[in-house]
Amino acid sequence: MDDLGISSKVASSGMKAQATRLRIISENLANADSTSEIPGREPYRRKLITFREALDKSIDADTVKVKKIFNDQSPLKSKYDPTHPGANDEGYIQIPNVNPLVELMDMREAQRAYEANLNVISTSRSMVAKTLELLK
Amino acid sequence: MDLQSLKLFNMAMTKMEWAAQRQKVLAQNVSNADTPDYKPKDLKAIDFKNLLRDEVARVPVMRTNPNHLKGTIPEQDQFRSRTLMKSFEESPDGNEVVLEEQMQKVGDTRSQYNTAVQLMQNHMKMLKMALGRGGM
Repeated sequence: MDDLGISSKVASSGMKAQATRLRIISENLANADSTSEIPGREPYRRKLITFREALDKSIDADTVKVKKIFNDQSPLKSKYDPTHPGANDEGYIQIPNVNPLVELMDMREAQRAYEANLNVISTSRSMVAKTLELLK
Repeated sequence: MDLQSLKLFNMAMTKMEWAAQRQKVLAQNVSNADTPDYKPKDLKAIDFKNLLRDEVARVPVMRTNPNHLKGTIPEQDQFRSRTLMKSFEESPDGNEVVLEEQMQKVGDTRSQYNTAVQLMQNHMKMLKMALGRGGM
């Protein structure tokens, strides 16, 4: 494969990774209020995602892959709501450790990185198109 | 006689190969913009001294059997890529990719590539003119 094709492929691996990140963010946002109905059981925990570089031997280039998706072990918050079915004896329920503000910032960053990768692909394609003009 | 033996074409071709390979390196940087501890890479600017040194220094290992390893000298990549030492900023996870800088480089590489393609097109026109087919 030529270098320009490879650059498109590498950028598409970046897009895939960022899309997975966006999926995790949307899971976190959707479950921002998911509590447990049984007292003592944990509510939804925020998920985190990390990336790693991966050498693709077929194209001899560093692509990016998802390394791990895991739960955020930061402390859960609690809220006073005695009528909730999941409330403990003192009337408190545990709520997820999701901060929508943090998630929205993460989403912005994922979007920006996704667009950067898209830009690389469109630039590479325009370079290929320019080369094909030599045939005219 | 092929076109490669004409100096003008050869120079434009080298430039195009360099730009295509740089595009590949930049795509790796962009796709790894959120990978922990990733350091951006770039190609050395094209100049006569570098080309000559690489030409002299590259003596690849002879392979007499398809099962042989290719050795440490890269065959595919004509121009050497290096990890950049100085960076504008480093994020807490050790990543040093600055998307703005990479985007600027992608745009710069595209225009250099287009210049080389345009040069080639013009040379082709000159050849056609010499053949008496009306280049313009």
